[in-house]
Amino acid sequence: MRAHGRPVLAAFAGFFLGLGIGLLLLTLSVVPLDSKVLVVLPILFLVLGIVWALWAPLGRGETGPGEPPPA
Amino acid sequence: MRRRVLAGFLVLCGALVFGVTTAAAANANAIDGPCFGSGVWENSKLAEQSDKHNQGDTITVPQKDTVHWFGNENGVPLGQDGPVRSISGSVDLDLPIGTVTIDDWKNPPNGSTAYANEGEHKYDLPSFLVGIKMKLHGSHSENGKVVCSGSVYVKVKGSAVSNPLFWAGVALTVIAGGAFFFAGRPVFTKVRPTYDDVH
Repeated sequence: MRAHGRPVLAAFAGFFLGLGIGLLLLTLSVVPLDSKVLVVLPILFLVLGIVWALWAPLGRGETGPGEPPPA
Repeated sequence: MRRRVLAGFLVLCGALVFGVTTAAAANANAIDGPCFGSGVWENSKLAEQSDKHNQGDTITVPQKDTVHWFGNENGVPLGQDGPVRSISGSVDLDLPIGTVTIDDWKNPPNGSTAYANEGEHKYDLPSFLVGIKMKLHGSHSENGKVVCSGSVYVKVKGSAVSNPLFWAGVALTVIAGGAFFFAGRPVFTKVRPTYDDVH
């Protein structure tokens, strides 16, 4: 058995997470409208999402020996 | 709606960066060059002028008001003409990638003799601009040469929570954040057994 997350979902989620954070930073006047941060954030979170999903660290508990494969 | 936004920006630009056909500026400077611009907001009693700001300063303006703007070049008073010359220029809004031209002006058929201008404009900006810091820059050219250029950050007064984009940002962050973490949960896929697994 090989474990991994959901890289496609994570990429989409990461992109929109970056967009959401960018919108918050923009409307709270933390960054101006011409800031490159607003472009970088969605791309950065998209990549982070893929890495996160491939690593898949959540709920990866102790696992016992697997069922023996069919002979 | 778009027209309201553009009208609002025009007002702010006209008052703070350029006075329509002639631009603004003097000493401390939001503008490089012999131009000056000012604006007085009727209801909020706000008064701003280009020689009281430097480039990079942020000017907070009301969401809705009437602004009386004035602009001149080389201190020429209103109504006094000067040598005829060809003029052009623009005011632009800077975006993360590229710019959007808010207004531009070009040479009248026989050139321009005006070196000062004034006007007033009533505006009502949409709520999705509240709290957003926007960089406006502009330039004014005469006979093909840039004589004045400048920039300033403009922010529409108001609480971020009154901006629908803020709530869109909250919703996106929460929903996409949840999906992001969910995507980090492992999914186990069967792999083909190896020789060692079988024997």
